[in-house]
Amino acid sequence: MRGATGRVGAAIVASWVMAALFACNGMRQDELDCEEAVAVLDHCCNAFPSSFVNCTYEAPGCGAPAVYPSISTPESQCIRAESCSALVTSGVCDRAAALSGLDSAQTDASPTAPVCP
Amino acid sequence: MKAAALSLLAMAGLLAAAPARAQYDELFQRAPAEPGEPGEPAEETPPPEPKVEEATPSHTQARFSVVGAYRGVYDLGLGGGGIDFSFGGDYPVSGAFELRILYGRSIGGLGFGDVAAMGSMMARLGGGVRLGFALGLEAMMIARATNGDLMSGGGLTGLFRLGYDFGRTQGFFVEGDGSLLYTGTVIWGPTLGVGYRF
Repeated sequence: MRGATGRVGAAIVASWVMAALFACNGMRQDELDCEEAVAVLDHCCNAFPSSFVNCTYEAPGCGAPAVYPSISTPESQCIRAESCSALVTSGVCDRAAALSGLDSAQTDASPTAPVCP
Repeated sequence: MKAAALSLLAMAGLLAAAPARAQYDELFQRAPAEPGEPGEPAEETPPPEPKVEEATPSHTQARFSVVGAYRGVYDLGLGGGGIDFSFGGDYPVSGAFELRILYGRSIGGLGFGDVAAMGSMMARLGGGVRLGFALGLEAMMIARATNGDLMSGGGLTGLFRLGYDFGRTQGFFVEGDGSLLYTGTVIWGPTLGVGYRF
């Protein structure tokens, strides 16, 4: 009985340790929406330079402003709502491809023009 | 003199018969006759009834199922499939250890993987219907479309489950559940599965 109680206690402690280790969230909505939009653009736009689009959030630090994903959540929702043909004909593919420069990431100081609509 | 000789012969006959009687009793599992009552017939005792091995359940069982799942993360929908394995009790109310692995894609095409390890409880409601819940830890990983890196989140997960078992101790089963995973945000979704109990 005492052994069983000990095992249950050890399992509870192990669960909380694991929970503490897992208690992280590496999934921000703006990053996830940006990546989803890039996946859609990669599928719909010819030779879309996916790997050059920045979808990473970087927290501010040492005087540097925060860096946000190049495609915002509203833009991502707009891209995901369009058909492939609409993305091409409306110029979204071209505008999104222009974001793929290395300095395309949005910062607090330099917001970029919207890609969509 | 003659009478004494006859008595000796009779006693010798009785003594010689004693080992044979003991063998008889041993063979047929009868209690040996009380000494001093050689002439009385032993009481008839009913033969022992043959032991019948009753079919007893093992009280443990393994469940294996293939599942299909939907997960909502923020405003994204993810769909996928996977496997679910559990091992535990087979009582009317019993617990089990459960492991679930999912793999799938978002509507846009982001790949994701999900692993959950849970402790589950299950209660039979009769007629094959069972109701249960599970609590545990879950981790989800989503691959970036830009560079292939993984975004991951994990935390405590819980689910409520309704299932139906075909067969009493073994057989196919179907079940569905709704789960919540808290990683700072809530990842939710239903899972449907069909499997077999061993």
